[in-house]
Amino acid sequence: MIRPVSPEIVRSVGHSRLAGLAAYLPVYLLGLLMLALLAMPLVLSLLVSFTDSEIIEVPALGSWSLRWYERFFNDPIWQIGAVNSVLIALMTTAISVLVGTSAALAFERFDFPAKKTINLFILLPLFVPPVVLGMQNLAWHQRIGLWGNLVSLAIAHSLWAMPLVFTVMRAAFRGVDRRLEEAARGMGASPGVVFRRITLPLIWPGLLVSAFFSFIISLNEFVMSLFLATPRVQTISTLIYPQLSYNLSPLVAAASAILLLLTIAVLAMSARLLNNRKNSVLRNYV
Amino acid sequence: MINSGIPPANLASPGQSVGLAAVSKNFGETVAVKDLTLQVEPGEFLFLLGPSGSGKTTLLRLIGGYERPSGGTILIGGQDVTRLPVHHRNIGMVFQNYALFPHMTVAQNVAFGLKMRRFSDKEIAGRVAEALELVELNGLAKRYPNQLSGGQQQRVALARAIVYRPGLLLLDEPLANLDRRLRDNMRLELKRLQRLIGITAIMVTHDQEESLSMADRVAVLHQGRLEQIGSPTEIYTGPASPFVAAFIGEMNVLRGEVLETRVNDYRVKASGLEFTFLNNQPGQPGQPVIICLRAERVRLDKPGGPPLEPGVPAWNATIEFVTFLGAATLYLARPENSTALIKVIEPNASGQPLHRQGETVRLSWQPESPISYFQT
Amino acid sequence: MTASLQSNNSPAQPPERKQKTERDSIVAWLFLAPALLFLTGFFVIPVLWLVRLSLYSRPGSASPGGSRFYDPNTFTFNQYGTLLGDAYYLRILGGTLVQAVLITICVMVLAYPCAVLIHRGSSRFKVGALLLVMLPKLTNLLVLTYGLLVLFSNSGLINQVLLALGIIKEPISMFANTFAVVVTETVLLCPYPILLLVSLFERLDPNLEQAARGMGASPFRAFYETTFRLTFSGAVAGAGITFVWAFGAYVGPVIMGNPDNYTTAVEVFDLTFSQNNWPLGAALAVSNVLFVIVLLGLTGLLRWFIVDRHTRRLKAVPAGGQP
Repeated sequence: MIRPVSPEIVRSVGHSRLAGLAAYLPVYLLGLLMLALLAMPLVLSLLVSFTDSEIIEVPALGSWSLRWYERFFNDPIWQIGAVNSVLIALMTTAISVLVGTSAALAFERFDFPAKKTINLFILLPLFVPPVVLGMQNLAWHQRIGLWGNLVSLAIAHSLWAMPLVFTVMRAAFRGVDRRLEEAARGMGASPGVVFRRITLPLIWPGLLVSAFFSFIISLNEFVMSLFLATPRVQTISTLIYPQLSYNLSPLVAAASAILLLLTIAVLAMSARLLNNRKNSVLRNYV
Repeated sequence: MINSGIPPANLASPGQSVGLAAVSKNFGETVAVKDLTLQVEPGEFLFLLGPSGSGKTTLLRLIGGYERPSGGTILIGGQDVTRLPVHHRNIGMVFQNYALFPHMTVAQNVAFGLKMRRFSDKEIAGRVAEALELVELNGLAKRYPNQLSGGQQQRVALARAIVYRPGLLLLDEPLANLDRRLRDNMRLELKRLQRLIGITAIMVTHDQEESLSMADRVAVLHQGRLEQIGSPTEIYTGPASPFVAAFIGEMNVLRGEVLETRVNDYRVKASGLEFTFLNNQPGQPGQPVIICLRAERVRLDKPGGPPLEPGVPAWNATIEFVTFLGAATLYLARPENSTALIKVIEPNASGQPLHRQGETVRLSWQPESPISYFQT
Repeated sequence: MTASLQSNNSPAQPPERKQKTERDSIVAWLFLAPALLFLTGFFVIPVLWLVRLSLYSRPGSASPGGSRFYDPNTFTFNQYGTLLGDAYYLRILGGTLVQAVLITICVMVLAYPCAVLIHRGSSRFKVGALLLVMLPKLTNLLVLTYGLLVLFSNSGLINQVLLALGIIKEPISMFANTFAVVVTETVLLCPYPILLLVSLFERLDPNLEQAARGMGASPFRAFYETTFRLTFSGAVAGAGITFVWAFGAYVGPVIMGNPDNYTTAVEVFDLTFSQNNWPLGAALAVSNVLFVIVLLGLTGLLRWFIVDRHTRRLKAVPAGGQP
């Protein structure tokens, strides 16, 4: 079936490259504008956090300073907020990974009725606006006496993190060839041993990604936190918020930057870990 | 490439018999295996041959315990294993995609079954080394599967499946993913290895050539039923049904009907050609018949060539197509006054096709070559 | 016939369906139980409670032992009456709707080209750009908003550059208005449709456009006839998701807008916390959800009528656009 490529075809392809570029120029410009809009705010808030001045400005070359970071870490209110944020994120991670992975396992390894409906049900919270989720959680947690507890926020954050873990882990389980598990059983491994020695090592990258995503989502969630926070239970986010509206100082930039750096650190760490784990696993499955 | 000679004592298999009695398997409405009974002797190499959807893979998975039969009994080594879970059946299984554990080295892959059987570390090391030596992979123990070639992966899968001395080796199209040259080599190696360790082996394939060259016996499956079981020669020379006949080798299939039944024989007319068959199973005039004639059993000569034995049917025919196959040539010839195109495979005695397109030839075959089947 | 049987290279795959047994089903429910219990306890029941809450009357000092937030032992549709009867709330609803549509349009106009750009970029660019797109979803809304604040404020970067270039004499107000709100929400919401569209593009056969070009279509025409038409239904889905989120926008309007930009979401928060009127807040939240459900149902119908029919026609062409 191999036919020689005619010169006309070669020419038309080469031609289309150039003409295509010209035709796509407006498209590319709009696309670049979008990317710029995405990048600018992050870069700016990072830069501003290093200013030496009392007002918001991008620091000049000589006037870099960490004074706003010092202020952040020496202020007990921010300290408590940071600790709360991390604690809530850890709880969210634990809840979401356990619950989400278990559900994903059920979906990828078993048959049961109403699969599609249940799938939709698990993903549903992702499509409910955060204000509504916040309001309903507030009302219910107040009713059952959970309001004002860190757990309350972790549960709310899990409503978003768990469906994402579920999705990631379904893909992870699907990435494990059923025949690997069958092969192990053929060699004499019981179902429990198969899960521990074959399935678990192979879904490990998925579990890592899930955990990190849950952590980051919780760390950065804001609107639900705003509803559920009480004067005694504040997170970095809920502390930043009033500052943004009323008292715009580079301290907010420092707080923002700390969240951003934490996020990037967690992302980098997961990338590192994923790369370090037996490359063979990733080369086969990612 | 597999080491010949005496098998390491640790790898000799207690080859077990396999018995299937009236085994059925349904997936919802679909019948995958229907009422299947067969017996595999210890140390035998049985092939399950059939087209896609014939139920051959399902049958293998039933024997391995990966599926539970809807009905019937499965015996391995005389023991009823119908309800026994996979990991207690003591089988070795090789998958088409090899299913090597990507997160384990070659050695760890091979050691897995031994670990499951709680062998000591020392013993595991020894047996793994022996198994890897047997398949000539000793240098690659520390590699990961994705660092191996297809052929090497295949041999790891094999070593992994036999290292713990199972009584039965199940192979699901293990050679399908290899390129042709490698596949031909592996056929020989696999066959020798199986003989060497004396393991009972059941292999699924859709490649009839593979089954004819390697099997002790071949079971031909069609739509979940056993069409025929027998040695490769039995299957090749005496196909039990038109399906088996057409599935094995290059076959002319002609449809016709019985013209008349005589004392010793009966005559059949198909596509304008007349055939005579010995009367071991009487047919009624007008009864539809399927006639199968192997392409390599048809003889081509120049018109008025060497004289034929008496009773040998012959026609003048025109060559309509010529397909050069290398060692042989496939011709499509149309006999005079016939609507049939007869496939003929003839070795190229002089290294090139003996006949050209458009040429008139004499077509003949031995009277016993065509096989007839009454259509029910 | 024989030849076709022999050259059959697709070996029979084991049937994927697993035999359904009682035991399997029970184990499956065991694994599902945590998720179902969690969602029931902290999603379904709260929704129901929210509905119930919206049917209480607002807290009054008249009810002894009553909650600070609502008046127990009452059942009334007054809150919904208030919402429907008060022009103030209807205006907010209308404003929210208009703003959400505006945001959705902006997002799609920018997201589609951006997805094309990412799809056509080198693999290195692709990874970087995708990370950049993901980042807003993974960073704090407030960090992003703060950055935009710095960019848009009167002493912000854009104004400074324009002033320095002499294009303008005094700072333009790009802050505390609809423009700022729309831009902010566009940045916050664009990742969803971009990621969706990129994944759709990646699944398209790259030869389709070339084939159209080969048959004489101009580059733009080739793009329109193949890529655009094949991804249109996906783009509509992306727009739907964007709209849902834009309708529930909270951060952009509050921080970057003025009171005219306040959405129903902002009002829910205000009612709940500033006015301590939980029943009315709940009623507004419930109305918000109902409104979105109705709108989505309508778009779903619309999609079914326009897009799916169109796709069905495409699917009728053999081997057309199969990934």
